[in-house]
Amino acid sequence: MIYPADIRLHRSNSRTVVSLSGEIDLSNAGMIKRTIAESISNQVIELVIDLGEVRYLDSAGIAMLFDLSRRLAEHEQRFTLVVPSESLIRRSLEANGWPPKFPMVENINEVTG
Amino acid sequence: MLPYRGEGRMMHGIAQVEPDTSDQGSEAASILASLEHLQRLQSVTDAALANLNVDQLLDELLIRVRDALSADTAAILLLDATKAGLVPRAAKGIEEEVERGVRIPFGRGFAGTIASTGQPSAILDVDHSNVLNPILREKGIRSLLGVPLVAQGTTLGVLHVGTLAPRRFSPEDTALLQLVGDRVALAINAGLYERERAVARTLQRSLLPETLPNPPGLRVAARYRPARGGEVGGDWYDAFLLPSGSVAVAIGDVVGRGLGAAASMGKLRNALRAYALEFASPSGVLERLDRLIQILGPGEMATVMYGVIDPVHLTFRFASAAHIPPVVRDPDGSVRVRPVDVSAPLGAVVAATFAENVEQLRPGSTLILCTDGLVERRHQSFDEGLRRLCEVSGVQLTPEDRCRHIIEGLMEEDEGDDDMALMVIEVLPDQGDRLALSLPAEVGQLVVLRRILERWLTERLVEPRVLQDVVAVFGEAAANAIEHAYGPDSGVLRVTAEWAAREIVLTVRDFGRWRSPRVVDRGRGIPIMRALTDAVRIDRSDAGTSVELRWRGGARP
Repeated sequence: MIYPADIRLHRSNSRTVVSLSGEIDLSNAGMIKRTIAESISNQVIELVIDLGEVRYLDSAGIAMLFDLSRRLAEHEQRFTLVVPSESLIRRSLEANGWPPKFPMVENINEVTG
Repeated sequence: MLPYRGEGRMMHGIAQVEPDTSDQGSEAASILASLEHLQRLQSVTDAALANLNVDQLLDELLIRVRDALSADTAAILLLDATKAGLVPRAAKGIEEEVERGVRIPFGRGFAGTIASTGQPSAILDVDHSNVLNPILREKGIRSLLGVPLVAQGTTLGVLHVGTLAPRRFSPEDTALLQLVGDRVALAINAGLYERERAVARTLQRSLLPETLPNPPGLRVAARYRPARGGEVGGDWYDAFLLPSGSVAVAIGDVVGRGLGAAASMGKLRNALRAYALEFASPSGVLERLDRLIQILGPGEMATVMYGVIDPVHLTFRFASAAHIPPVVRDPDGSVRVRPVDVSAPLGAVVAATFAENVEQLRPGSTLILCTDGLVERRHQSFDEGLRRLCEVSGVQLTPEDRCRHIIEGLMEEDEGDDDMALMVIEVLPDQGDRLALSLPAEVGQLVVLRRILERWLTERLVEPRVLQDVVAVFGEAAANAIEHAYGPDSGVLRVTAEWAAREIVLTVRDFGRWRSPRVVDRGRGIPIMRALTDAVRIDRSDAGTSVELRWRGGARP
């Protein structure tokens, strides 16, 4: 991998799935937030962020997730996070009091069926 | 116009004196004339002139030829880069000509015609001719004599002299002026050649990296040397940090020499850098580079090796387009040539593919990359050169000293017919149980810091779960320091890690004045630090902030 993190976007009907992989820290969290925010149109009902392939997530990355979740709540859009239980970043997320009030699922298939 | 159809040139500087036996007086006059002529010749062929630089030589020759021909002015005009016009290069008696930068069109006027025909020419009366240069008229020049400046069959410009009184120039005058013209042409040609070489050297230097990266756990050094006589070719090396914290290294050799090869090398180097940021696999990078040459630079050819070193797992993943194989020095001091799957040079075949090779390096390994200028000699096979490279690489040296040692060992008295590039990359030996680092406090360094720490923890056999926690907490402490301790003019971050008595102690120090977070939402680092460590101590003072983090246990069972 050349960049610390990769972003893949997948839009279907009213749902946008963002698959993140690699490492998210202070150096790229802002750019990732902008990319995701720009991909959410008003027609989107649900945003799913898949963190299954993320190896590292620091507090700047967590703040980015909080910020996105707040923005979506303001527009009554749903926000779901995919974090496998064996994920390396689960401990960082839990240390920050995640999840607040959004569903967190084990596997992307639980969302997309 | 009175063209002297080349008679003057036949004489080639030998005084031609007509035998005259009519009477004693005229014989004496004739001898005197021939002596004078010899003196004039000597004045313009003086060996001492050889010590002057081009500009001094041109000035001196103009003065001497003007005096030898009893003329009032002398000037040298050179064809410009487009070959469509003549511009003054040096002048005596009509110096304004150079200052004003008059431009005479090729093929027209007095000088323009001499340049286009390549033949000497004289004008008896400027007022009744097609002289285009206004300065000659303003100065009151009445007669002109001019010769072409020719070197290696190419016309470079025109040399002319002028007189204020009307004057009919003799064939001897023309011969003398042509003699000087030939000398001027030689000097200018040598100067042009020298300048082109100087431009190529400057270009080559400017295209090599000014500084090499200082990547985590690695040390890099490199050298470039022009061929004998200072001529550059198309060899280059490059090393840069990828955003992931991996290190990209490239070395290559563009076929050809001089300015053209240096320019090609510059294009290739930049294209390779761009592709390196787009494609993770070295073979993919070379395939794109090859396609680029096929489309944009047909006929160009180059050998290149490109690879990526993972600073944690110490893999060297590389691909080679017919480049010299890498030489590996193992930590025990044994040296070997790393065999490489053979691929074609870039630009050689359509739709070439490049095999990907992986060499597992270890702490203390050294990678030696070079171009053929280092190992190939006229009376020595390429394999013999590689064997000698292995021979001199056994000693334990820093990369900087190793470069010097290799060049001394392989190129001692022989500068080489070809230019050469050499790059040495050492994987630093394991740092032991105490790690100390000093890095610029910039967000881009976070990934680098994590890589160094991961490798150090892996070498200490720290349990994977603890390793994750240490890296996560360390990342928070370092990000805090980068974000809050310094303004846009970033400072330094000092990190130490210690592994003692089954305890890991990490300190992150900055030397800035801490301020509260600018964005309220960012105060999240501290909870992670507290949750994932056994002890956190933060000391703040005017001199900076120090964060100490501890983990007990952590060793693999």
